[in-house]
Amino acid sequence: MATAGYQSKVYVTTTDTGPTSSDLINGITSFSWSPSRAKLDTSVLGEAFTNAMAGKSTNDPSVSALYLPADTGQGRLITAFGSGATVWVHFSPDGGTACLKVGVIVLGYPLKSDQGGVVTAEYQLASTTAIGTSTAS
Amino acid sequence: MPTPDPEADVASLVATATGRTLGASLFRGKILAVGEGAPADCIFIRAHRGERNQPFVGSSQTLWGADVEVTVRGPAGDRESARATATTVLHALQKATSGGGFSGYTLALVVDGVPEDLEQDTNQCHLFAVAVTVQWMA
Repeated sequence: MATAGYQSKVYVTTTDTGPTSSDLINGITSFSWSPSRAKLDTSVLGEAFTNAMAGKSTNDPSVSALYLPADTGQGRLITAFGSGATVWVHFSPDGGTACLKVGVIVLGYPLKSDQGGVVTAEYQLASTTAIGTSTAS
Repeated sequence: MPTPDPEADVASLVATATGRTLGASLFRGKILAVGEGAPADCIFIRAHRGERNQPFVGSSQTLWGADVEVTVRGPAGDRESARATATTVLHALQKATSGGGFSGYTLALVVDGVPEDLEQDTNQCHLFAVAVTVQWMA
């Protein structure tokens, strides 16, 4: 059965622990969990086909949100941008307790303000740890 | 009624800006004909659904929107009076903020630069309309 996107939950913790409701990032309009793996070309001259092997994996999620600096979750991302520290993002696609997690640094958070709408922020994250799982409580 | 209530809140702001009294010279809902519970010189305020609401990921909150239309009716034959009142309403609503007595909203915008002229009704009362778009999180 398909899952409604608005039921998904995204948490951020400053340590590698299971998140609670107080760790939620609020105001999110869009979240992407973006695991990927490099493709290493190992083919040699004379081969009829390209050969590839799996390279290192990465996960650079991004968070689009209404800019709410007073929100605990968004505040942690902004603080992490300033300090360069790793924070842990936990993503529950269906809103249940089973989460995917990854440690990230915040590369930037461009803010956009226009005269006819609300102020939005886009938090750009880059992984510093492997993808793991966590349990929300 | 959950808060905020755009129709009631806009009515309150307009009442303050124009010195009108709700139920006497300012009404919520459809336009009442002269002599059918409303005087000629009065204001009507009615909320309409706005653009599609926007739920947030993982949050019980949603960004809601509504359009509220304010219709000003002036005394019979006095177009300038109605237009002046509608202009006062327009300026009060454009970018209304919590500091200006309009709390609980993320956004208040009037798109039109001048009140829309709706011509005269059958009693020779001129009508002008101002529409304000409001957004709030709840």
